[in-house]
Amino acid sequence: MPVIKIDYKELCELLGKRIPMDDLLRIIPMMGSDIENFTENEIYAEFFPNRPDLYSIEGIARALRGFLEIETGLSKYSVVSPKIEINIDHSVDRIRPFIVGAVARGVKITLEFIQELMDFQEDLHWAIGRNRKKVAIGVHDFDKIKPPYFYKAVKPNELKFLPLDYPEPLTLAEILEKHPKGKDFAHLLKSFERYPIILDSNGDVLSMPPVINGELTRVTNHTKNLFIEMTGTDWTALNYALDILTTALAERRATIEAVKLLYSNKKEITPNLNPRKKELRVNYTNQMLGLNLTPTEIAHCLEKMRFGVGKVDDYIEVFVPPYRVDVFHEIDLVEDVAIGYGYEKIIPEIPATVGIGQKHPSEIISRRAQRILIGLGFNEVTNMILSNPNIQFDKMCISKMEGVSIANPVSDEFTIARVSLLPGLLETLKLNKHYDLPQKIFEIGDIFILNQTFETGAREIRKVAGMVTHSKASFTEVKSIVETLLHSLQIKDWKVKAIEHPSFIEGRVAAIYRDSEKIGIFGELHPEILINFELGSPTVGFEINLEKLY
Amino acid sequence: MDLEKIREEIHPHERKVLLALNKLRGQATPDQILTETDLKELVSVMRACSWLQKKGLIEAIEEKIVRFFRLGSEGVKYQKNNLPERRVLNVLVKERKISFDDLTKKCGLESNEINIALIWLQRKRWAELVYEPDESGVRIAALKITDVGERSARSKGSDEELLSSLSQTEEKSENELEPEVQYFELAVEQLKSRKNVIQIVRRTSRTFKLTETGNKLLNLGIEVTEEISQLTPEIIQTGAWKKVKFRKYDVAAPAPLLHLGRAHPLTQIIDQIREIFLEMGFAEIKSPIVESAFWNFDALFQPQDHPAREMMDTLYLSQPKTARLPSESLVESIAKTHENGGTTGSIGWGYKWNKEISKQVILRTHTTATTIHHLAEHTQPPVKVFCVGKVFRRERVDFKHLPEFYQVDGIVMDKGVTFSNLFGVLKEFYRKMGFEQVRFRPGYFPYTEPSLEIDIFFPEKGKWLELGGSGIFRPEVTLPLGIEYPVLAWGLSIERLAMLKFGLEDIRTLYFCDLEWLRSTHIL
Repeated sequence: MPVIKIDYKELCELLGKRIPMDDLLRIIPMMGSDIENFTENEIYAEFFPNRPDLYSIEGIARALRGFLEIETGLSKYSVVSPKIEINIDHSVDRIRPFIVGAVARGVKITLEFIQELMDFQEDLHWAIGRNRKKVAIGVHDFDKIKPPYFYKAVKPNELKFLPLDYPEPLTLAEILEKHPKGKDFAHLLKSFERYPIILDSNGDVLSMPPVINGELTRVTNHTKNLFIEMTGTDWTALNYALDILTTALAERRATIEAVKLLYSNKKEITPNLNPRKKELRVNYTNQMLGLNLTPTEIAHCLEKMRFGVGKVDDYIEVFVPPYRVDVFHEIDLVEDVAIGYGYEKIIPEIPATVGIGQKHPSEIISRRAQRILIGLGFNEVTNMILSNPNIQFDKMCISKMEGVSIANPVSDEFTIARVSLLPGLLETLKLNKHYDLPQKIFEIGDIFILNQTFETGAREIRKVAGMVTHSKASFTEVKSIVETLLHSLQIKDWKVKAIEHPSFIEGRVAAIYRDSEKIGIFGELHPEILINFELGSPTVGFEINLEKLY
Repeated sequence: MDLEKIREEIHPHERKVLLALNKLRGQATPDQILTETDLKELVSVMRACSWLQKKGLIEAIEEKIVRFFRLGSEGVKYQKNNLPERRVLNVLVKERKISFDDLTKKCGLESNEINIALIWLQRKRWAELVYEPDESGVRIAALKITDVGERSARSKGSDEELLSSLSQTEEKSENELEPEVQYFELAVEQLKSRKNVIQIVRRTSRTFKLTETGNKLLNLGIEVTEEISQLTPEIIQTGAWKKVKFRKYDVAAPAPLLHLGRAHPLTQIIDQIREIFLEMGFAEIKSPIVESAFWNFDALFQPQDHPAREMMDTLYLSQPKTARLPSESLVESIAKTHENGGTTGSIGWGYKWNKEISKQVILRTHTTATTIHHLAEHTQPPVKVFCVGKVFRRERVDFKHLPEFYQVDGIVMDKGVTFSNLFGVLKEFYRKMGFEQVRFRPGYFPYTEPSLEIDIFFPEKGKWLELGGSGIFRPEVTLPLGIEYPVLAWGLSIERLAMLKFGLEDIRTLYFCDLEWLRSTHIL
């Protein structure tokens, strides 16, 4: 989640009031954030992905002015009628069909502001833009280009321009190969035959969305007026992002001027900074929150959260500012009432709901087995479920089985879900081989099998497994342990049968059967296995399916 | 220390050492003490001396380096067969003269011993070299016995005395050996100059002296009387216990810690949490770890292009690959909710929902998949359940990340439950976990509204730490399942809590089990 750097002095200027640092550190979290860090002059705060309007210091100041009741209610934004146009060619329809735009005039631009603006863009790309796939933002020096502009798609080698941060002009194809940003975002364009481009009336390139702007329109501290364009695949998301960015600039006293968009089949004008109207029921609010607020109190809470309030009655007419993209449902307004009221003022009350505590059967049997083994002097260990075929099969000298496999493993170490607890226990013994013997360890955990009767085609099975290693570990010892365990679990009708298993010494391995079903295995591990796990002493082990025991 | 108490708790070995020291005029080396007592090994003497030192009854007054001797491989041979020069001398005494050629034959010398014999015979002046003509008139070299040789034939040299006192298996100190060998240092020098005959080790040796307290104690009398340390079945059954005196132990003396079998710290914490839920009247539920994207994400109103669903963050399976979805009507209603809010009163996410994406099989990323699965099957109030289970993320292993960890989730669904009820149940839950200072702060999860994060104040760290997330399930989550009442929900990651409770800096400690650590951690 984005961490926003808040300059204390700049924030106080935007608030129009000096608030002590300590108060801010206490108040900002209660508005909905996590303070990551702070210094004497800066606060680093993490804001949630549902509130991209708080990804700029202007947005934070706007919200804080309400929360601190310096200025409550709707922040109104006026938009000057469009003077410029963007012509959209149908060639972009199948590639990046939408563009929106705005002009911001009279912005006081400093180097610090440019950095903040770039961070803000990147955070919007993350939160709304899905890393530029859905929305890509370009901000330009308006006075360097000549309207109207043209948005179209061209062949990869059709034209050349000087991209930002590169020494020489490149074709669009070359940008994807050579420019660092081109390499980062090539995956968004590679499958198309033409790439989108924004040109001005002189044929100069503003931008090659969603990859890189032209050097021509670079924003510097001499820039006076900004042209903002956003291209993408989702009309709603584009408008959200544009509303958030332009209202933040308006908070810096920029004049926002609309842009006319001439699509082949329609005309649009952006941005539209009018609030949306919603209704909030008073009794629904109180029911959800467990409070007993009057309509006026609710209205006041909403105004603290910078909503506009119209009619106040059994329901409240709410004006949602254009930058609040998180209001899907009435419940979203209820949360804002709660935040405006103050979470710290809500009195905790235990719900009257009666319930009966009930343990899950698999945990009951697991804990019984755990207690018995602890009584036998075993130490419980925990190993990871994620494993790999080398440990699960090769080192155990057993042939590979079909099992739960990861499509996108992060490393070769974790590519499958374990099929047995025994390899993990051997790994644990290996980790501890420098300690005194005897060592007695056990684990209770899940292993995985494929099974078509389940929705997903796989399921976990609860097992218990143990191992004992010392210079005289013997088959009799493990048999005693297994039989003591089963006896103490009050399992009666089981039988031991000799079997063959490549991980164990021939003639020293047995299966436990209940009726005709195999529920476990125990024996003396084969020296080859011990060598594979770098162990030097005789080792015996067992593994029992607990699901068959309850 | 109380002298009377010392006297009562005195170990028989200590008593023997004290008495021996007394006899040796209050001052002696451990070797001397050993010979004076019936103790079998020097170690026992040393151990008793160290106890006595701690009690202030004796003190070490002098430390000196003492040589310890044992036989080397050649020495063993010589001890058995005599030194080569002695073997020659034994023949010379009878024959007066012997030619070089006869040395091997008559004296039984091995070829490598001839030179040694010649050198030492001359060095000890037992024989001299002469050249005399043989029958054919050729002058040949021969050995002839000297006067010294004559005299020496009757007695052992110092080196031989030393040689016969030594052993290969047992070390002897110079203090022991010196009285047995006439010219001890000369003997040592002589044997040392031969290869592999003796081995010498230097060790520090102390001289112990009775302290004033020690003398006082002896004056009080510590005569050896029949005392019992270990009670035996025989003593009990024969009635002997009535007559014997039980030695009093120093109960403050250190005893070794034992290894006990114990539950892993992680299961201890999990059980503590389970117990709290059970005490609060929650039933424990489970759901599969291998889960469909449908239950893990779609049913929880997480849009299909949500960052958490990306291949970067979630572990997708290549086998099994496709899950079966629940009833057509439920799928349809969730699809519509995503697209335009359906009948929930929401505007939805405004995109085209794709059924195939929801069929992807994953390792669940949160245990909220379990509670939502349960709610889908239990739509009528009240529902009060919890679950503890493994969840998975596409993370590399490092000191603060693991690709799998435990989470716990709890829900309460009932008529009329409220946000303030959620505060109530959370406050109680965290209080039972031992956290008194809890702060609820606005939070965000795609499937809850209102949402909150739980901060715990850790006085020792002097700060608030986030330790759980919570909220009321969104209408977009509950209404498609047919649930009409609010669902209070919360969850937290257990490893983080375990690290705080067990003071761990590295999360890997919990999964790469070090037995020494497991054996030494406290039990909750």
